[in-house]
This record gives sequence, C-alpha cells and structure tokens, in this order.
Amino acid sequence: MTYLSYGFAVFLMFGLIAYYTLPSVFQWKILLILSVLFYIFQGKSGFVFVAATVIITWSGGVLLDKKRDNNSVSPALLIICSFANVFMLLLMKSLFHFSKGDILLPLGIAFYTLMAVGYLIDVRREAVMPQKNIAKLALYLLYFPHIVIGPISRYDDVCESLFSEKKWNKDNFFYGVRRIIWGAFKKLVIANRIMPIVEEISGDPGRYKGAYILVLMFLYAIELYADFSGGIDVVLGVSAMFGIRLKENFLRPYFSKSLAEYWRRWHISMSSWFRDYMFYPISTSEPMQKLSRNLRKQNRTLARKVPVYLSLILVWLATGLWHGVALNYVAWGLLNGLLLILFKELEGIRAGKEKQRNKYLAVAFTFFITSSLKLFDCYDGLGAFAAFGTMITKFNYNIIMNGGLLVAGASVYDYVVIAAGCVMIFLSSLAARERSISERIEGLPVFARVFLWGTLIIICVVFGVYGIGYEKADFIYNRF
Amino acid sequence: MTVLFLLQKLLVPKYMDNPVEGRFIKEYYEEDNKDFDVLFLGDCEVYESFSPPKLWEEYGINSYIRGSANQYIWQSYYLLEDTLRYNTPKVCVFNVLSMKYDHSTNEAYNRMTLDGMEWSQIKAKSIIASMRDEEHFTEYVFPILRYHDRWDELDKNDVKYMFKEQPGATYNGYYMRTDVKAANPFGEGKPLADYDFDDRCWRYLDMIRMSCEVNDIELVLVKAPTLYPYWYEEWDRNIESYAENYGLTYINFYDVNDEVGIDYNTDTYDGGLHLNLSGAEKMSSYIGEILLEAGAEDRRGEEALSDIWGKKLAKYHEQAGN
Repeated sequence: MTYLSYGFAVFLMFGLIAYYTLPSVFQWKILLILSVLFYIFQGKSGFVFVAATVIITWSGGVLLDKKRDNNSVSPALLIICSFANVFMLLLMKSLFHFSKGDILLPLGIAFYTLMAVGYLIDVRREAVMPQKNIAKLALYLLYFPHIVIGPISRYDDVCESLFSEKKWNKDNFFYGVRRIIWGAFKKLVIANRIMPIVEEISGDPGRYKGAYILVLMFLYAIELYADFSGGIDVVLGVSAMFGIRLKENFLRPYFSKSLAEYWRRWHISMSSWFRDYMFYPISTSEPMQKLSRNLRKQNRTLARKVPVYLSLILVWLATGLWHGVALNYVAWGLLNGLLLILFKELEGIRAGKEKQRNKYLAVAFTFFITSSLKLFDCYDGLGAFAAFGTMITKFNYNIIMNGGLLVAGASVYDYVVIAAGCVMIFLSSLAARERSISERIEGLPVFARVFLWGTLIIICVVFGVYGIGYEKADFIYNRF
Repeated sequence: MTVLFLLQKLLVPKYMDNPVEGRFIKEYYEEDNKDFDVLFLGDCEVYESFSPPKLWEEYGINSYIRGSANQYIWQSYYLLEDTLRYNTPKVCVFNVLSMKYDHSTNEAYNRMTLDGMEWSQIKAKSIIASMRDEEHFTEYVFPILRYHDRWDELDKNDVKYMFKEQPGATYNGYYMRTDVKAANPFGEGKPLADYDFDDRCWRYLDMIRMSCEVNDIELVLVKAPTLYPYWYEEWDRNIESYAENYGLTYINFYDVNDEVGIDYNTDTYDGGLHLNLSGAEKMSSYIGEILLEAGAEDRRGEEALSDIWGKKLAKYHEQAGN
C-alpha cells in the first residue's frame, strides 16, 4: 500500500473520519492504531524489528533519565541503546545487500533508527524530557506519514503536535490536499515517467555509454528529486490533514551554488541529523581536540582543519552506509566528503567580487556535480566511475537527435511531458523564493484557484504514469 | 468533474479497429427487441461458429450470441444472469472450451468482456471474479484511471464516437469473416499431468446449469470444431459425464463433422483456429434442428420480428457478398 494508491486513499479517508469524529482524547491512539495497521498492510514482516527499536529506545530513554547524574552509566547506556538500534539497521542492510534483495528490509528502518538514536541523544543532553508512555514513543517512531520516506523528525519538533488534541481545521486540511496533489504531480507525471528510461540505461552498462550516461545523470537527478520531494509533499500533506505539521525536507536544492549549500537544501532532515548528532559530537570530541592540539605544534591551519575534515569524512562514510551497506554507497559518501573538503579549500582561492558574476555558473556546476554523484545510485560497486568515464571516451552525442533516447518504450511525447513538468517545477520554485506557491494561489480569486488545482488534478489523472504495469513504482526512498 | 467525464469519454477505447471484439458485449444492449429464444455464451469459438441470421433464415429462430474474446466461464455465468434482467431465453448454448481456464490470463480480455456490460450488481460480481492481481475495481468504476495513458494514441474515432453510437460490428453477436485460409495440421496436444478441470470451473458450470433449471431454460453444451486449442479426449469425457449426469445435451462438433460438413480447406479464415462464414452457416444449419427440439420456436410468422430480421439480413447478405 503506497501513499499514492487506492488502498491508501481509503485508509486515509477512514482514518480521518475516525480521528475527527471520535473524542479528541483518543486522537493520538487512533494515529498509533493507523500507524500499526499501515505497517502491517505494507506486507512487511519486519514488525518485530521496529517493535524491538521501540522497546530499546523507550527503556533507554527512561533509564537515561533515571541515571542522568551517573557519569559512568549514562554514556554507556546511550552507547548500548544506540548501538543496538544501529546494529539492527546495519545487520538488515547487510542481509538485504548480500541476499540481493531476498531478505527484505523492515519498512522505514533507516528512518526510524535515526529518529530513535536522535531521541536518545536528546534525552541524554536534556534537550527533551523522556517519554514515559511507551505507546506514545511508538507513535513518534511509527507515525505512518513519515515512517516510509521521512522526514527524519526530531522528537522535540513533533511531540506536542502528535499528542495534543485537535479540532478539524479547514486551512490545515485543504493545505494538506494541495500538498498531496502537488506531490502526486511530481511523482506520477515526472518521476514515474523517467523511471523506465533510467532503469533501461543503467541496467545495461555494456550497451549504454557516452552520451547515454550524461542523459542518465540529468534524468535521474530530475527523477530522484521529483520522486523524493513529491513523496515528501504527500507525506507533509497527509500529516497536515491530521493537523500535524512536519518540517520541510527540500528547499529548491538544484538552485544551490555549492555542494555545501546543496546539502543544506536536499534531504534537510538527514543532513542536519548527521550534522547535529555525528559531526558536531565527533569534531568536538576529546580525541579530535587532542589531535588538534598535537597538530598545532606543527601548523595552526592544519590544527584547525584536519579534525574538521576527518570528522567530515567519517560522517559521510556513515551517511553512505546509512543508504546501503554496499561499495557504491560507501564510495558515494566518501566522494561527497572529499568534494566538500576540496571545494571548501578552493573557496578561499576565488576572489569575493567574482562570486556574484559566476552565480549561474555555480548553480550549473553544482547541478552537474550532484547529478554525477547520483550515478552511484544507478550502478553497483564502482561502476559509476566507469560509466562516467565513457562520457569522455565515447562520442555518441547524436543519440539526442536520432531517436537513440527512445528506449524502454519512451516516446517523444514522454520527453515533452517531462520537459513541461520540469518547467512547471522550475517556475514554481522560482516563484516560491519569496512566498510559498500555496500562499500565492490562495490569494487568487476562487475561480482561479479551482481552475489551477483542477487543472493539476487533470494533469495527474491523464498524464500520470500509474496503473497496470506501474504497481511496483514505489517511492525510491522506500528502499532505505 | 465535467472535464474528467469528457476526458474519460475521449480516452476509453472505441475498438473501431483491431481489436473490434471490445464492442461485442455492449451491442446487446442496443437491441430494441431482446426477446431471444436462444442465447449463446462463450468465447470466439461461439461468435465465429454460429450465425443467428442463418438460424433465423433457415429455422426462424431468434437468437443472440453474447460472446467475447477469451470469455471465461464465470463471465459466461454473469452474462447469463445479466441477460435474465431483460429476457428469459428458452435455450442456452454454452461452449465448453472455457472450462480449461481457472483464472483470467489477460487483463485486456477481461476489459473486452467487462467494460461493455451495463453497470449492475452482476457486473460488479463479474469484475471481482475476473480481476487479476494487478487490476483494481476502482479502475473499472472510473475507466479513465485505466485508459488515461491512451492520450498519446488517440485517433479520429476516439473523438467521433465520444457520444455517437458506434456502427454494429456483429450480427446479433456473430462476427462475420468471409476470408479463407486453409487449416494446417496442429497435431495432438502435449500430455498433461492432470486432465480434470479446476473446481472453480465446475462450480461455475453448476451455477450456469442451476440458473437454467430455475429459469426453465434448456442448457445445451457444445464444443466447436476448431483445431486449436487442442481439446483432449479426457476433457471431452469429463464433459460427457457431466452432461449425462444431469441429462444435458452435449455436442462435440468434431464427432459430428461428417454430418455438419466442415471442410477445413474452405471453412476457416485462420488456418483452423476459427470458422469463417461458410463454416458458421454449416454449423447453424446443423444446430438449428436441435435448438427447435430443445424449445426454440420458428417465429417467422411474427411480423415485427420479421421486419427487424429483414433489415439485418439485407446487411448480412451485402457483407457476405451474396
């Protein structure tokens, strides 16, 4: 049962009816029941793992609170509980990888594991009060809108909203509907349309080289953005319908002028999690401080930079492993780390006054870099390097004009729709820089609003890629 | 909603070109007079093997073939029930080839049978009985959700027949083919591990039989004399036993071919898979007597009915070229 399925629409409808018609004191319990049912309806047998995470995290939080003043027990507790959760994640990721997908990943394990570990760290830091009610903690981790593809919500950001009683609010509800429609457009019309082309090209590296790789890079970049951000739109929309606002996870990432900025705009909840719960603790840890002190004797610049860069590499290695226990993800993570370091070093070389003139170049370059990095998602092992290399060694750029891109059943019409869809997203992103699109549209007369949203619904229905043959097109980040 | 309704009308396939079979089921509802004495049910073996115009011309039998491509037995049952909403025939002829299918093998065939049915509880049950795993009931209720991706293959017929009635493709359900392609020998079928039909198929055959009993309809089981798919002797014996058990008439047209006179050099249009007009008229000449004995009547004396058939026969003979 994916978010964009008939089954989910029925599930959501009954869920909303129960949520707003039954006494509001039951609301968080209804959400918990819905979340458990959603998990079970997904057909995943991994419920035992999420249950284990709930128990470990809840008991860890309660014990951390009790042993707060015990400086030897408290850190050990945190490490043990966090390690137990992370161990399950890495174990299942490894089994999934080495069994070539025969052993399925528990639904949302990558997401709820980070949420669980973040919660424990926040309890230890006294940033949040531990949740004494195991059912409420279960709701936080299992909350069905965010369990599949995020965002990775911080406990503090959602707890009040999750557990409070709410009346039906028309603005929240229709905001949610609008978000879902927009997300459905990105996912069904654009992402699903690109998917077979990407799968065809990346699935046969011996056949598709050179210009195909360049096209693959850009198409996959668009597909991944449309799929992931579209999914997040649906998630945020569904959650808003219950009166619970989750944080944004994308902020026009392809408008970034640097890789560092990109990671502040793409999958924001993940990058900020690794920043706050790994990078800062590691870079300010005693071993790193000791390293810095030792290096200061030789070179002050090295003393300042090496611990930071080393921490960065470790964090990106972890980020890669979070995506998958496989060589391609490790390579992806390490490359991200190395490029961030490289670009940081190069930043100081460029004169400040040149930055404005090269803004558009910087955006284009960053898009090229991030698209290239996404190739690691398309190929096993280090195949992305070989594929990338063929862009230089094989000159077959005539495929763009001679029909060579009409692969996997794609027609010229498909590319027209993809292009039109990209233009729509681009224009809406441009317009959203100053004010959200939703707010802009809500300021229009009623007939204009109905026309716009009605047109978008029709575009989704007619041009969406769904139905027979596309049932397997889950959101890409489902697989994490 | 209006726009979506109009788009749905545009996008659903009109079946004006190959395959035309998608229009067959719907045509039944366009008959002003549905007072048919004989109802034929089944797949292409039925709508290519029997000619209602010939049955009228030779015997005065008013009949209709509610056939469709690869019609499964449960779909035949529900089409029988659907027909009973309008009319109770005296005889029901059911071609038993579909006993070999215990599940729907193809979504396209489902659509060609089900989309043309009028909405009723019976249609809903037929859909549920037919749906493959990848299908959704919602997509039958709102066909735009199924056919939305036809936007890049629309042609002038899609616009022309959005609301306009389509010309008939059949003659009371008979699809005429006048071309000839002599049969090639297919040989015997490969041995099977199990020659019994699935319980599901037996259940639906029982349901057809019982519905006929309750409504006082004489059920006649037939097997058309096509050369492929291979009809095993063991299957034939199963049907014979069943017919004997319940006192039903069963005609395996392979066994009576000497009397029917099917010539596989001239009476088939696709090498023996289906009969052409010549073959269908021979089959109709043969079965007509049996249908009269089973309860059908010679109604050539009814003026109104004769008028209707007069017009149909004119077109029929014009197309047949005689």
